[in-house]
Amino acid sequence: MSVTEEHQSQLSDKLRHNLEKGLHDVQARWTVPTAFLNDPEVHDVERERVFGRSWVYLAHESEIAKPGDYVVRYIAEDQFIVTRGEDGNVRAHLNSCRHRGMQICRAEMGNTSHFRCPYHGWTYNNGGKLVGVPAGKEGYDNKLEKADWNLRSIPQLDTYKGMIFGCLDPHAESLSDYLGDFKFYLDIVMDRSDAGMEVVGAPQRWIVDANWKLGSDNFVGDAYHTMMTHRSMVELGMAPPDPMFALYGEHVHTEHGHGIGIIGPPPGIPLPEFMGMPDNIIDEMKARLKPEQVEIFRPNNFIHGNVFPNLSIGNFMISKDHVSAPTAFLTLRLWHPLGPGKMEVYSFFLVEKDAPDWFKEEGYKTYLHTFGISGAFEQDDAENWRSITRVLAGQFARKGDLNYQMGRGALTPDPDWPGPGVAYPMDYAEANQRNFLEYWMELMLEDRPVSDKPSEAHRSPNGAQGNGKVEALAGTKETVEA
Amino acid sequence: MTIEAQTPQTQVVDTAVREITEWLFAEAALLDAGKYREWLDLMAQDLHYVVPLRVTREREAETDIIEGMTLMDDDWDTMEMRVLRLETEYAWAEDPPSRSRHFVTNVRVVGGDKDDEFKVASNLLLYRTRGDVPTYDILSGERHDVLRRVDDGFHMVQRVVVLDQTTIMTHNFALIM
Amino acid sequence: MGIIYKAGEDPIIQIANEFTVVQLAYIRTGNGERLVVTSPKLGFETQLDPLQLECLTWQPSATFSRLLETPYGPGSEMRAKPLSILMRKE
Repeated sequence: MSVTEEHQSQLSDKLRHNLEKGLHDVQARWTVPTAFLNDPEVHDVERERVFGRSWVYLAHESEIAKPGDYVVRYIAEDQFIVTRGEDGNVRAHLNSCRHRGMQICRAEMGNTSHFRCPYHGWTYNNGGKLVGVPAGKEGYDNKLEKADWNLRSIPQLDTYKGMIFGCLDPHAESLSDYLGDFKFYLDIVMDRSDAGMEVVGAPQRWIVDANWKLGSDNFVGDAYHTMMTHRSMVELGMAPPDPMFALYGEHVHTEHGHGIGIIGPPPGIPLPEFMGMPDNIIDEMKARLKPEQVEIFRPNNFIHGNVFPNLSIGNFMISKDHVSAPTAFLTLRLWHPLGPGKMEVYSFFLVEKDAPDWFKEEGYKTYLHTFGISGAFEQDDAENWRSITRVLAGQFARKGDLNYQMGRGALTPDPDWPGPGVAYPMDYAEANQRNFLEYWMELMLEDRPVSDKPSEAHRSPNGAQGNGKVEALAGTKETVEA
Repeated sequence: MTIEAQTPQTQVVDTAVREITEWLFAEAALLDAGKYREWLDLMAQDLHYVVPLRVTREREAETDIIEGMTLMDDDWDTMEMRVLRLETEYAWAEDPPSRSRHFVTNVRVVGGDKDDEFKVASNLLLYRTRGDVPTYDILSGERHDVLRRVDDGFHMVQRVVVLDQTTIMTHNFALIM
Repeated sequence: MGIIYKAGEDPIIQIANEFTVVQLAYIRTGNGERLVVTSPKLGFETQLDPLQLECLTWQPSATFSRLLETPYGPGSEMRAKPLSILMRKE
């Protein structure tokens, strides 16, 4: 075994037992052990086996629109400088100088053609190439092999419809294959406009003492909680005047744990088609999307979903307060794990670049007053997730089961659904959550060696249908001219 | 939203400072007592309440406050919505309520843009605990208020709370700063 | 960042990121004009004329990477003087 190759840490007998039991239970009994929501070993293992193997969302292309723009983002503990080179290509470099490991970027965003390390001054271009070291003659007799000491690139990087994802596993399948059928649904949300989406400002970031999976579990399929958790919003008229409004939807999941719920207005409560989007966006959307995608979007007003593992989508038409008409907005959120019982939430607001100003302004306000750290919906979610996490830390609490049986015996797949995946004709279901957790447990159980060597089948930089070029350099010797 | 540095020379040194300081303390007491409806009565109809979004930037950067996005951006209607929400039986985020304490110091007052208005800067330390969790959340920041003199005291026209954090160390803003 | 105005002086343009800061000022020379580029952190200054500035416009990014081979200025500025030599002089 070379120094660049290692085997991933082994599971304890207890965790392996819980995962095997969990996999059996989620398939046979539609239950899931409580053991996974606040356990230090689970956290250690999932950093490698889930976040080390999956495509994880890093940033949106609009956040690094111009050459030299960069933001610093994370996959588990690893920090990456996500930057657009002078050549326009998107890259992600480990934010660590090759000389002594120092953080190169300590601001979380900026613009630069070159990075100069604050420790000893090693300087890299924004393509990651080491171009200069101080005292190169005196200290290294001008013989330092700079080409061997470029910034380490993320093993794989790709974009889909403006969304930049990275993957620490050089052998992982392409982003396009990983997203698979879920792209059909991502398009409905992310590909409505000719000009594309933009992140407005920067993400809100805050800490919740809760396990990250609770955020994903909620967004991937939990329409059920709205009745109780968000009842205050129904009472104030910010959500439709039916506590069970989120029932009236389709509940769909695809491979790799992805899932989405697409909800229309309750019977007898009219809401505008296409979430009342501006006319120009509706026209563009109809031209861009497939007819079946357009027809799925037409009658629906609430879309919630999750790209495995931790990127959630909320596209909701709700009111910003008790006296305003509903407006649609789009939020992406990352549930970034910081520990078994702690996550950092990154909450982004996105809008079509070519939407009229009134829609951008109303969308911003509606997002801010309903989701995000001060949002009237999100406040109650955070409260619940931290309560769950706290109570499931107990040794006895961790030996229980959670009920994922909604729809059992009552709900059968919808034969008429025009989209891919497994669809149920009601969003009061928990198939998406089971699909998410089943895939998570499969990844957790899968023993395999890891390597930071480049994959034999090195991915095409433009493999997916991204808008921008991306580059993931697996080796460090490659010359990068940016 | 205006944020202006204040120097000692420009400070209003009269009884208004004392009145305004007492008003801030009374306002904080209402929030800590959970008397949100009474607190709302102190807000002007043209209220603008903003918590800017800060990021980590280099010292030479013009600002570390993000344009176009905030942590909170409320007017009177949305503040009323928050109060109405807390009055429902389903505001889980604050039921049971947090125990909070607003510590307000370093009050600086200058004349406002209008004759009956004052610009008031203050430092805020907000302490919060929930349930029996043996930890606490602390938010520290500088508030930039605009107060308007009315018959029975003051109404708040503007509050900008510049927090001393980028990643916020509390799980929601169910509390008012 | 931005434009710095000082009473009685031409405005200075300051360009900064998290790695460094430079200042640009317009000056009139005997019979013409130049752009003064100052590095306050490292203490260097250069005066560029229109031709020098024009040729920057067609330089590839790699040109600047080459110029940054010595990231803190010319190597000769940093040449070590062995302590033993200094001691011998005394």
